[in-house]
Amino acid sequence: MYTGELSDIRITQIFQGAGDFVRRVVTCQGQTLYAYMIDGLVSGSDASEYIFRPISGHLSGQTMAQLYQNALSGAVYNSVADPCADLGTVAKKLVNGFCVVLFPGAGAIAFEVKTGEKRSLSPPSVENTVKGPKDAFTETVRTNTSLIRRHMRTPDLRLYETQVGRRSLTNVTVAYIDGITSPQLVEKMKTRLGEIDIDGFLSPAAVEEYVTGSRPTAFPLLQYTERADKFCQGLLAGRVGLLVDGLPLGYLAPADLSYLMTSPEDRGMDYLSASAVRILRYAALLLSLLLPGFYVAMASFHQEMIPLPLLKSMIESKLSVPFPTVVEILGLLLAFELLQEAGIHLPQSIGQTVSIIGGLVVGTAAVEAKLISPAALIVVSVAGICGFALPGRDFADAVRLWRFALAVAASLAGLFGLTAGLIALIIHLSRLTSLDVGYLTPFTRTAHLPILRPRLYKDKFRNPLLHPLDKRNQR
Amino acid sequence: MPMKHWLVYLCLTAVVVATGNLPFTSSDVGQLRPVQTIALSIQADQVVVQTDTGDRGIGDSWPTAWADLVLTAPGTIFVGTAGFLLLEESATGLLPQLLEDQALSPNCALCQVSEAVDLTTAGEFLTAHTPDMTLRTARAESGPLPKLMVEDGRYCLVQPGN
Repeated sequence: MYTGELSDIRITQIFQGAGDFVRRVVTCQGQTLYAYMIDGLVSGSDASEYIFRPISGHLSGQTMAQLYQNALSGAVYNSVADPCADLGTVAKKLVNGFCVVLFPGAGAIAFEVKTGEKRSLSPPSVENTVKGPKDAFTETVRTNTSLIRRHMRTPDLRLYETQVGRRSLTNVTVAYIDGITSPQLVEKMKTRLGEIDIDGFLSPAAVEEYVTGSRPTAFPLLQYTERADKFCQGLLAGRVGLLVDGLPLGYLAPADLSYLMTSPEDRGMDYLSASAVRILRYAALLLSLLLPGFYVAMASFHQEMIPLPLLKSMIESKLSVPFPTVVEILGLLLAFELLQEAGIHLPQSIGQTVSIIGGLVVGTAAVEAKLISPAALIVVSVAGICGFALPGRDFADAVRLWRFALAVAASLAGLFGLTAGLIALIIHLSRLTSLDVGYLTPFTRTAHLPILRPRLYKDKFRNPLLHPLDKRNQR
Repeated sequence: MPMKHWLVYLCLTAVVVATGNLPFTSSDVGQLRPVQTIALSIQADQVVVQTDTGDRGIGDSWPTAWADLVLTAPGTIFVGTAGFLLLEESATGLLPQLLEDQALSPNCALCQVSEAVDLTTAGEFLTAHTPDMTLRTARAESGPLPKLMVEDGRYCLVQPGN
């Protein structure tokens, strides 16, 4: 990363022009030491109390080497004291909230004095549950690892830390449980991270695309969560976890379709209610995906399949509407997406108002002005609401995209087109893999159908698709 | 399948659609005039076909009368929902032509009427009291048609054998 000897001149050169770079000259036992830190990342009071005070009061030694050794051994009574072998390590430590003290000619020691300024824990913003815990991940990876430790106190929890991004030097932690998680899964994750060679590893899209291999698909290949309990559930199941500094999310892999359709709330209620909700969720998935296309197919190609009273009702609802059904449905789907997009970008104070105006006023006005038929509006609304019932936002976004495609296919060839589109979708899903685990593998003939939630006392074995080392999760 | 293959297939599909070579034809539901009840009669040596949507066609034969109705109707006549075919006594001779017609559903019920009836109310009655004879059964075996009679403004269906 940086070449040259470990010296005051080189360290100062690396951070030349950085207004928050602090360089302090400290004298100890007649020797000149240099202390460096990045203002804003360190706690000044901690630096004063746990570094400078012991250096001036307790650190002793005849030579620089003795001073260095004594500081490293505890004379400077900071909780963390890491020796820095080269300039690269010094630079990384400084940007990670360490105070580095250079002992010219002997070495450098990094003392951790990170500032306590960070976002405090808050409830999850999206994955809400009624009975479950309310602690959600924050942007600080160390806070997130501490949350995981609080939920899972096993000493077998392993946190492999690395940095990704040439310039961002983003701290990334791979979490797994030794003795449960398949070593092959862990190695695949580590290998994928090691192969990433980019400047910045900052956005969720970067994490998801680079870790999974940037497949041309809208469907998520990693499960993300803002809940520590769900993250720990995933680790206990045999999955590999990924935490990225700067993102208030935890990622779990591999992710298959059945896993993406589960919700933390499933474990918050009895198995009967949870199973009923899951069935409803799958029905919502099918409705969200197929209803607009099915309506277009029936209304444009297969009217003979519609019962006469319903057909008459549909015809009456389309009286004086100038647009064909296809244009109505596609236009309404587009309007629905625009409303959602506007709702995301607007401040919360006016976002709700805009949604109400868009949904009620514009929709009602459009129907009364005979621009769209009530039947089409109902179809698109039902499909949209069913989409909101899906637990994963990324997965719901993919479904929204395919909903468009299936509606277009249905508009071209009716039920034949819809079926062809559905077959294409299934083929696409069957070709997806997440850490070499097939996306549709849980639905294969050999696997137990994962739609229903089993009773916990009967659920004695971990998912065999994850190849866990310990196959039993209860005795 | 690589993205470029998908793009090629999409472009080919777009070309096929744009040139109108897609082997599927659509008709929007808003333009449909769904027919439930059809009545046939012969007036002045002309076949007259009427539907409960208020449309009317005249011709020398059943096919020409039907073609005339389709041509003159203010919309797309949708015969997929036709459930009842009423033949006035003058038009019972058209039965062989009707049995050869493939446009009507084989489950379309056949019925003979003695006089002109209101097709909407007749259709409602026949929905509740469906005649036994359909085009399918008539093609399989010949027999007398059920009779729809009107007495004192009320409908009465007489099935063969009763």
